[in-house]
Amino acid sequence: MTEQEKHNRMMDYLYDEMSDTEKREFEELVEADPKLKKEFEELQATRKVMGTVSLDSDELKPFSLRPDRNTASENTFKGSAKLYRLMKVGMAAAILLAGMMALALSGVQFGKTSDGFYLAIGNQPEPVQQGISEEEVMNLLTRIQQENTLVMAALAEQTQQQQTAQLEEALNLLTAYYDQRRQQDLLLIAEGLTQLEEDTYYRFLQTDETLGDIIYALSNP
Amino acid sequence: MEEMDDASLVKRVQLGDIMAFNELANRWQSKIHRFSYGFFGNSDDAGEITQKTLIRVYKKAGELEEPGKFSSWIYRIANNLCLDELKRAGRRKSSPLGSWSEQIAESENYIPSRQLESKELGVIIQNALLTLPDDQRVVIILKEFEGMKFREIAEILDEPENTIKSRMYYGLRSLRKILTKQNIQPEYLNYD
Repeated sequence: MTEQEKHNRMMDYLYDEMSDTEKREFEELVEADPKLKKEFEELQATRKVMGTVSLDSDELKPFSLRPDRNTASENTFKGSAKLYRLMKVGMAAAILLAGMMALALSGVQFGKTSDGFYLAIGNQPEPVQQGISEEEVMNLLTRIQQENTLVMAALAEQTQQQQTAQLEEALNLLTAYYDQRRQQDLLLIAEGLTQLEEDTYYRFLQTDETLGDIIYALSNP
Repeated sequence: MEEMDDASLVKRVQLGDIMAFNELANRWQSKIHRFSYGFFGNSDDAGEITQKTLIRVYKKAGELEEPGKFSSWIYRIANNLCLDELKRAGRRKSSPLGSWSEQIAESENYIPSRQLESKELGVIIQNALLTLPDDQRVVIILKEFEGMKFREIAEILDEPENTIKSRMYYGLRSLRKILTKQNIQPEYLNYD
């Protein structure tokens, strides 16, 4: 029997989901296996602890649906919606009727002439303005296009000049910065060379002095 | 109405009988609340899940083809709603394993015997339950507190029966460890 099967049987035994025969078999199995027995007793004790407590919490608010009120409110809602729709239709009809009456009483004139449609109160109006021809429209459009082209070209040129100026300024700044750095580096190199020259000179002097001492010592043993 | 079993009530609910639904709600409200309370450990969430469950039961009653399996069906709804709530809340409502017990043990005022004397073992168990993985917790709640058979739990969770037993076994072992860590086993876990 695998460990998993033993665990499953243990659960069946603990929760009394075994036949009497199966129970006896499991009890024999437990008695023959001290490790299993210990585990069984531990889980049995844990189960007993679980059995002493309940998960009851606070009192519940009763949950229920109320058919009368719901039905009534639903009916009321449906009735209101129907009434609302009727009112909307009535109002639209009233507005249309009022508009027609107003037009009829005010002598509004609406029609068409060779120059186009007209709308007036009283007599038919005289044309007060001639429309513009297609050629004039085309001319106007061409002029607007030309002006737009000029404006765009001017803008592009101005933008390019600004970008060039900014680029030149940036290059100048960069050049100045590198020039300054180069000068500083040259100064540092010059100082280093001078220091090296001085050091070399003093070392020559020390060497000469030492050689002199050695020659003197050798000459006067 | 009192004498009718759940299946008969469900059939009447399916015909639009609201009073039958109210009777069902009255019968199941406390069970679902207890189940949800075991899941979250607080009444607010449990109440919310209970309401949602009952509302869903009312809306979906027509889809229940076997009224005799109402018990499994309503618990499945509640379990799914609990899991959805945990997902929605980003698992803030579920404590990681051991965090609660460590927190209690580190508390300066923590005296195990005093807690037990004040009969707060239920709170300890409840908090220990919250530290378990969801799949073990739901099995323990349904088994220990709702008294269901392993076969019924398997049907609710749509898992093999042996899987349910295995989850029960590991859940009990985890609870045992937590309770032992609380030093309450000499008095309450004494099996001799």
